[in-house]
Amino acid sequence: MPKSLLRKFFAYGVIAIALVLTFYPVAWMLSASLKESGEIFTTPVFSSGSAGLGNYVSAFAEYPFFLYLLNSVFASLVSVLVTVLLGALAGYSFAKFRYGLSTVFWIVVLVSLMIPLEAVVIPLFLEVHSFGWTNTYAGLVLPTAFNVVGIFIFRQAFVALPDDYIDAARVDGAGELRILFSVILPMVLPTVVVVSVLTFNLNWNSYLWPLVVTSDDGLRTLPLGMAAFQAGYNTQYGEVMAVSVFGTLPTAVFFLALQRYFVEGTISTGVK
Amino acid sequence: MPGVILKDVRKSFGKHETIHGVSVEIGDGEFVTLVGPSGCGKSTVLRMIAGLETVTAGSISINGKEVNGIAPKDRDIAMVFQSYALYPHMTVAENMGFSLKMRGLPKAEIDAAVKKTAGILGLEPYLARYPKALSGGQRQRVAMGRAIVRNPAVFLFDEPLSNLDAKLRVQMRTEIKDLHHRLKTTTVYVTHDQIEAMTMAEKIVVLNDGRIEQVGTPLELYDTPVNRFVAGFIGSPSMNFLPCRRDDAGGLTSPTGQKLTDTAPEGPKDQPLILGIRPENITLQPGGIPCEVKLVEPTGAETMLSLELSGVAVTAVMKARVKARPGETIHIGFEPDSWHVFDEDSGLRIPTAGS
Ligand SMILES: Nc1ncnc2c1ncn2[C@@H]1O[C@H](COP(=O)(O)OP(=O)(O)OP(=O)(O)O)[C@@H](O)[C@H]1O
Ligand SMILES: [Mg+2]
Repeated sequence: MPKSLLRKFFAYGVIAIALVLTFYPVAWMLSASLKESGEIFTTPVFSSGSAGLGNYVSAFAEYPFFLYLLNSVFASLVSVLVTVLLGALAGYSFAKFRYGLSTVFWIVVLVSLMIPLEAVVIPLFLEVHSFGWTNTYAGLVLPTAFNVVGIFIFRQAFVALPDDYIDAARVDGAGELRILFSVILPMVLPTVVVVSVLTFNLNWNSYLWPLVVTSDDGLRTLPLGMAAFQAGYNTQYGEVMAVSVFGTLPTAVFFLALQRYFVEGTISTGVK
Repeated sequence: MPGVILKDVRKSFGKHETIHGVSVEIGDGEFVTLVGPSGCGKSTVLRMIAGLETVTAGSISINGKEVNGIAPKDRDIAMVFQSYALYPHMTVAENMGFSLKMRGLPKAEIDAAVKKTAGILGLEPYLARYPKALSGGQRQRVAMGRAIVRNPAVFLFDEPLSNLDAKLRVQMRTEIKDLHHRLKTTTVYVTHDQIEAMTMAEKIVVLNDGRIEQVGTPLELYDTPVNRFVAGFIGSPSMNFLPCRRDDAGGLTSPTGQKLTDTAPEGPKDQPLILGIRPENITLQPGGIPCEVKLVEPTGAETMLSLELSGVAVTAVMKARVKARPGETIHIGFEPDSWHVFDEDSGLRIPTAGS
C-alpha cells in the first residue's frame, strides 16, 4: 500500500472510532426512549421497541417539560446575549487599548476564570437573596449569565485584527461603539458563533445554580426537571431516556445550525 | 490661508522620542510628499496629522485651526492606508459611503455621492462587489474612492501604492496626480520611494530619523541638497561619494593621490571632504580619471557601469553605448558644475562656485 493511502486509512480509522464512541450513547439513548422498560436490556440496541412515542407522552404528562424547556432556552439565550455583548466590549478594550489599570483588570479577568462556581455559590446566593431575587427569573438567569471565557476569545480574535480597520473607521467618523458593532464584530462572525455555542452549552447544562436559587417548580430548568424526574421514576428508563432526548435536541439543533461557522471559528480562534 | 501647519511637533512612545521637532507648512491645495527611509517616522507624522496618534509636544493646525485635541472625525481629513483597510463585510458602495453614513447624510445623497466618485475612478461596475472579489488595483481605487467621496480638506496617503506591481504603480501615480489637478485638495503623501516622491510632489519633505533634513521642490532637492543624506537619498541610482581633500593646485584629490577636480570651495586644506557626483553626470573623457570597469549593464536607452575609482565603488549611467568590458580601464570626467562637496564630519554641503 502506498504511504499516503496508509495514512488516509489510519486517519479515517481514528475518525471512525471517535464517531462510534460519540454516537453510540446517543443511539442507545434514542433507541431506549422508544422501548418499553422491559425491552431495554433484553433486546439488541439497534432493534426497534414497541413503545412508540409512549414514553414521551407519559413523561410529559407527569412533568411540565415544555415549561422547563422554555426556562432553559430563555436562560441560555440571555446568557449568550450578555456574554457576546460584554465579552466583545471587554475583549475590544483589552485587545486595542492600553491605559493605567488595564494590566490589573486583565489579571482580575484571569483570576476570575480560575474560580469555580462551587467556590462562590454560597456568598453569591446570599448576595442574590439580599436583592430579593431568589425564585425569580432575574435570580435564575443574571448572576451566571456572563461567561468570562467570552472576554478571552474575543480579545484573541480582536488582537489578530489589523489596527488599520479601526483607524480607517475612526477617520471615517465612527465612534468606538460603532466601530465595535458595525466594523469589527461583523469581521469576526465565526468567533461570535464560537462564543455563542460555548455559552449556550455551558448554560444549558448548568445545574448547581438553578438548583440553589430556585425552589419554585415553575422556574425549573430542564436539567433540574430531568433530575427530579429521574429521582421519582428511576426505574422507568424508557421515560428517562425520552426526556434526555428532549433535553439534548435543542443544543444539537443550535450547534448544527451554526456548525459551519463553529468549525471555521474554532480553527481561526484556536479554542475548543 | 495655509492648509496644514506643523509647529515643532514631537512624539514620544513611552520614554523614547521618535519625532524630534518637525515644523513644516503645507499650503492650501498643495501636494506634498513626505519621504524618508523605513522607520524614520513618516507614518507617525501622518497619523498625528490624522489625529490617530497624539502629539507629545508642539502643535498641528488644519486650515487655521489648531487640531491637537480634536478627534480624527472632526478634522475634515481622509486617509488612504497602505493596507487599504477596506471593510470586508461591506460592498464597494457601502465602503465608499460609510463615512457619509456616519455623518448622517440621507441615503439618496450618499448614493449620489458614491456614484459620482465611482464615475471618477471607473468603479461603477464594481459597486455591488465585496472587496475580496476585486484585484489589488481595484481595491486601491476603492480605498481612494472612500477618501474622495467625502470631499475633505486634506488627503493623507500612507504608501498607498506599495502593494501594487511596478506597472500599475506607475499608472496609479499618474492617476493620483491627475486627480489632484482636478480636485485641488491639500495632500500629504507618504512614501519611502524617492522616485514616487520626485514625480508626484510639488514639494518634498525629506525626513530622517525623526527630523526634517530638507524641504523643497523636487529639483531643488536634486540640484542643491543641503547635506549628504539628502544628496544620497534623492536621485536614482544614488549619488556617488568620494573621500577627498583640497590639493595645492586648488582642486580636489583622493586619498590615493588621484586628481578629481580642478577647482574646490575655499577652506582649510586638512578638512576631510566628500565629493558627490551623480551617476548621470559622469562622462567618458579620454585622459580623464582612470577607473576599472567591474560590471556593464546595458538597458537599451542607457548603460549602467559599475566602476572602481581609487578603491571606491562608483556607479555611472551613460547615454551613449559603452563598449567597455569588465576588467578594462576607462577614463571618466564629471560634467562641469554637476558635482557637490560635503564636509565629511557634519555631512553639510559646502557651496561651490557653480551653486
Ligand atoms: N505605537 C508605537 N509604539 C512604539 N513605537 C512606535 C509606534 N509606532 C511607531 N513606533 C516607532 O516609531 C518609529 C517610526 O515609525 P513609523 O511607522 O512612523 O516609520 P515609517 O517612516 O512610517 O517607516 P516605514 O517606511 O517602514 O513605514 C519607528 O522606530 C517605530 O518603531
Ligand atoms: Mg510607515
